[in-house]
Amino acid sequence: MQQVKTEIERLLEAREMRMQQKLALTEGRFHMVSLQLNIPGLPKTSEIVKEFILHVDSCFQKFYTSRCCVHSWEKHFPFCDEAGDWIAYLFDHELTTASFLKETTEAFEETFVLGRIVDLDVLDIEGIPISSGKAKSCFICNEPAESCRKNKRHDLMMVRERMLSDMKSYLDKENSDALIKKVTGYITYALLQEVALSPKPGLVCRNHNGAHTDMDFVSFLQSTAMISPYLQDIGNLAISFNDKDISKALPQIREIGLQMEKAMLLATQNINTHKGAIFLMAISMFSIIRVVRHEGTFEVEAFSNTISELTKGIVERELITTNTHMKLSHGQMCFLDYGPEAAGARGEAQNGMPTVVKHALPFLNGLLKENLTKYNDRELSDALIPVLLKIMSVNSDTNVIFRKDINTLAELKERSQKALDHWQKGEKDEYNKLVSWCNNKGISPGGSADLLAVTILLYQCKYD
Amino acid sequence: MVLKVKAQAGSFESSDILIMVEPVAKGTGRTIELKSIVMQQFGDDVLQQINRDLDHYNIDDIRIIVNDKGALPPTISARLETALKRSAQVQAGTLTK
Repeated sequence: MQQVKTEIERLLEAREMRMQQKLALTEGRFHMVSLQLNIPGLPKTSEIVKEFILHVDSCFQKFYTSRCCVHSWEKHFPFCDEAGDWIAYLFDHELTTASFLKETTEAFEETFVLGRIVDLDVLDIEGIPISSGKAKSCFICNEPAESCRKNKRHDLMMVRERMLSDMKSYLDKENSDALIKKVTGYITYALLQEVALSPKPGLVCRNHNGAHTDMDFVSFLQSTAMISPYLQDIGNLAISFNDKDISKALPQIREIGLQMEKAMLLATQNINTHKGAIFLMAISMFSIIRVVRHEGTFEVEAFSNTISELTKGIVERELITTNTHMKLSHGQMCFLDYGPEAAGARGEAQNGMPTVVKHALPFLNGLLKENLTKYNDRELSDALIPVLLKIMSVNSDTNVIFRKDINTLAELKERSQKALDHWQKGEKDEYNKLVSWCNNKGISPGGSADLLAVTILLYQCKYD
Repeated sequence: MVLKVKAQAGSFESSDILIMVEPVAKGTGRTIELKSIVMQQFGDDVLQQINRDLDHYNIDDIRIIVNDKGALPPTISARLETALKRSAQVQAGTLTK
């Protein structure tokens, strides 16, 4: 009769097998570093444990490579057995020494944040374990770990739970940091790609200042570079903010937004290149991070709802109730003159960015099918110009209303639609006419340009 | 239990113990070579435990090489039992080199 083995028996057997496997791997050719985790209790593996060890694996690889650039491991294998997950690195014995490997693994264990959970062993080419004789400290107290274990100083399940929860918070932090960096990069790219798109009607481009005389391409590069780092602060705010009513986050986002404006003005010698973009990108950053953290992935609809919740009541508060005695922004003046149609970036935000999510993004989705990194300059221009036209044909751009009037806006929308229709038939003449008309008449659809940048941003998030 | 061949059990993984046993001539007595990462504090405990277990199996003549990586008492007993059974050829897999 087949004897049913207990978990402990299987664990003991797995450790024996693992040792045999390690000896076999050295093949008389390699020194071996093995990475495993010291987690008491069963089971030895889980989703969190796997994610954690893979993370430690990549950290160790970077740690080793940064300290020894001349040679690397020859082979790298991940394993999982009854005794848990482990990873083997095999080093050619002619290129390194077992003692160097031991020094490096020990330095890693000492510097890595959760190094006490991590166990890196070195086996030399003969299969002999290299020991430094140094005693590891306990995960819970600072006594030598072996003495705590032998004396059962801490409850085993308590140690296990602490380790698992520390791993989880560690991964959480790592993942949110990576997410924030990535979205910051996406936003920076979206702003740069928008200004680099050429030619554009009335807007600053690569080789043309459009309808502008006080700023050029370089102003946009300088401003973008200086405002981008602050997006990480907004990302961190999105992670730490925990009030159910997210509209309470808006003033906190604006505090950072004001720092961004200051950085912009410093970079451009007091020219407003990005004021609207800062508002839209700041609330977008916050909302994207919230959505990804809560939904596990980026969802356009959830994004739209979050933006709208975040800016709930902003039109009433900041546009309707303003009076002429206050120092007004361009957007506020437009609203005073023309009402809800001229609610600008605020109206767009409060309604969940309809121009982007209902018009521009679905339109771009119809033109491009892959991640933006797959396309070259020409291909991107061909796709993004019609998207800009689409936005211009529906957006009541307060930049245009403020500098011109509502009739010019109506004509601009009409001409944009016409240029778009022709563009889709492969005729670019109407577009070029629109570009000249805007440049000559001093019409700059800056609000539409900002919405194009948001569209580029959301497209990247969707294909992430 | 009558020991017949060299045998080993365990591993050099952390918190495990590697035990090699070898039969010796009757009347030779017990020779135990112990190396442990916790030698100073727990070396005597490990030796005592091994002697107690050998008493239990009525084994008076044996050579044992022990390399302890901080195993807890139940692991030590389990590994010793397996090594002895492999040596006595009552359990498959001697794992001798």
